[in-house]
Amino acid sequence: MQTVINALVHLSPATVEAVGIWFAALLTLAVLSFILGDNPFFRLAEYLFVGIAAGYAASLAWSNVLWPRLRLLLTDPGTWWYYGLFFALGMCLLARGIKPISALGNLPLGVLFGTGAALALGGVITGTLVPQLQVSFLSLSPADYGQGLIGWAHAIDALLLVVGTITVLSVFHFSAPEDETHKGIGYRLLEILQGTGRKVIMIGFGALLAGATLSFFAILKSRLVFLYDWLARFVNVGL
Amino acid sequence: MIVCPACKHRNPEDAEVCEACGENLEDFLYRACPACGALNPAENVFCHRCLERLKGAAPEAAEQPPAAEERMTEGEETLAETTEKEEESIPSFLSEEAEEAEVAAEEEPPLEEEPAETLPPFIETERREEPLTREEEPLAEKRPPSEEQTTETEQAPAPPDEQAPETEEGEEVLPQIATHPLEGIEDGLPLEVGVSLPHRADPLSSEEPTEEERADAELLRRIAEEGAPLQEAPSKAEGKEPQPLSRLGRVLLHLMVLLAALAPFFTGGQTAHWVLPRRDIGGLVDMTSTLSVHTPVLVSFDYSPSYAGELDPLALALVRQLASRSVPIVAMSTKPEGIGVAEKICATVAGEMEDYRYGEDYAILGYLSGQEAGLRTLKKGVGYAFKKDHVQHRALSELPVTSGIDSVADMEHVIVLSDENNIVRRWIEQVRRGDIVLLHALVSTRIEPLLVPYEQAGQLETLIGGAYGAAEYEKASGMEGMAARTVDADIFLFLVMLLIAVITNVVYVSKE
Repeated sequence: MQTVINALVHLSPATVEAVGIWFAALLTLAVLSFILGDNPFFRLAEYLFVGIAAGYAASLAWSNVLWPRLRLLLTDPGTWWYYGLFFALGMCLLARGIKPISALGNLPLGVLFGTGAALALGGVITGTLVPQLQVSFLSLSPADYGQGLIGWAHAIDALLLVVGTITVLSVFHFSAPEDETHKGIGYRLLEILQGTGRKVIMIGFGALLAGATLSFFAILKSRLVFLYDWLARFVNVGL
Repeated sequence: MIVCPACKHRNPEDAEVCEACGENLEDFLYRACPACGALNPAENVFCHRCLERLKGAAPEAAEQPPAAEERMTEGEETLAETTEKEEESIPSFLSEEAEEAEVAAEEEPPLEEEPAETLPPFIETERREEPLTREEEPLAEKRPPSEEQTTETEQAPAPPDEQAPETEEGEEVLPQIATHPLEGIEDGLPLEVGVSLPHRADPLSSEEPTEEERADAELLRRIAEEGAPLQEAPSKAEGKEPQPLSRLGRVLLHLMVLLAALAPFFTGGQTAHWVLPRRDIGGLVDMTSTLSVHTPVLVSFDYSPSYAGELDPLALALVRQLASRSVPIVAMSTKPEGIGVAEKICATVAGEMEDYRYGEDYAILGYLSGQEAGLRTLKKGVGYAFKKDHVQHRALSELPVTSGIDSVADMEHVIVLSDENNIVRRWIEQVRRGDIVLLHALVSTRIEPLLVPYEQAGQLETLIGGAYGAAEYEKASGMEGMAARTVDADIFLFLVMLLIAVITNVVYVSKE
């Protein structure tokens, strides 16, 4: 076992790269084989991806987060004593898996969720909600945006934004007329706004779908380029 | 105390008839529980409070009502006759089951019948009502009560002398108690009956079973008889089989997309000169050109290798341009997988430029955990978030590139490369707040539409999306790379999509 490890450690970078490229190419082909249906090669690639990603994340959490702080705590506990509290809370979290003492895990979970919720809420209000509300109050006058066509273009853009915002918000207004047979003018106006709002939402979803399609197409393109490079290298080596 | 259900008069415990109106109180006696003393209606078998069995709670069975046969008129179909007919229409296997059950019942010793005294009177009442004919039931529900019935109902609470209307045969008809015994008592305790009222099953249809019903019965028999499988059957997607034409269309669509992706191998990036960088991309390039060589830029590689095909060209274009201007880079990630991506990109650029060294020109801080809390810590101070760098495990003060950095504000510009809009949103909400840094987002095309509002609100200085954005960046920086060479594929994809949209709309309109 030790011999194998030593041999792997002392491999030249060129060999490691060549093996890596072959491995990546074969795994790419295994993933693409899903076009023909589910098969063991695809499953192998899938499981490898999930397993390696989980292992890599765990090793990073240890080497980047836990170990540097633990070392500080062990070498200079007088200065870094508060890391001891955090480690104690972390150990309490592990108690969730042991039934008799699982209640100990409630404290770190409470701290975790409480802090996370408070930070997220504060951030959303001051970082998203208020600024987005502020920029929703737009001027519809072309003069405010410049002279000529540019001003008009910006004014129309602002108008579309305002109309889109109001109509989409109206979609989520759920009410029914007091009298189904004689709908008031207010309710008829609301129906028109809701119909327009649904179309705006559909356009938004269409843009998201188009973006996702382009995104995955770019990934496919890069994989094909990679396979092409691999094949070219392979053919050159063979020749 | 017994409250008369007819006139609400309060009678003494031992009263059998109401002192005020003469109503028979036999069925309305309340019994005190011997265990807890709670008052229970006479028909309760168990105490409503402590569930103690109330011995002798049930009064003597009421006088038997007139025989059912006597109340039937000629020509009416009895339930017994109906049952016989229904048995004929029952599927054979059910009949066999019934016969087997009968044989088994005959062989078994008869169960001891419960003494009649234990049956509460309301059950007796229900029993008395059972022999009604089938035709009477729906009629009784639909049509208004007849004169005779009305008379009976109205006379029910009358004194015994008046309440006994005689039938044509001169027999006395007892008042039928079809309602809850406690009905009408408004100021009494909220007592509930000890046992639930038995519900009468709907009579079976006497019609001949249809073919569909026979098929259902056969299916039920098969399901009941066959053994359970040891393993779950593989699920099979149900739905309409696609038509040959639509299947052909789907194959054609896939082939056209594949051909579009392969286009760069045939065209050799001929369309790269058509790419015109947008103004904000040009602005980012100009900004990186004017940055001080002493002020590092924080680059967060917040994307996983799954999106490397789309975002690597963008990241490479950015790092190459910063490196060519000798702008120091401090790299990090809020995703564990992002650290590997950062190492690969930086190593690629370092391999291309001989004098591009780790620690002097760039450094990788590592993975920042904690999401919102982690970013807030980073904003407070880089030293709070990262104790040592990721590659050489040295203190940040020991590396030339990070030695003068205390907080994020010292870096002025933060560039986030991400495949998740939530990550960019967190950077905006937790780090950019207070305008201490300028934030740029280079993201996947998938999430670009979700971040446009932040760009329009001025919370993002720059927003660049995907592979086409990378080609624009390369074009603007004058360093054409892989993104520009493969941009033909994107243009061919646009053409394919346009063609498909036109064809499908023409087909749809012609069908209409």
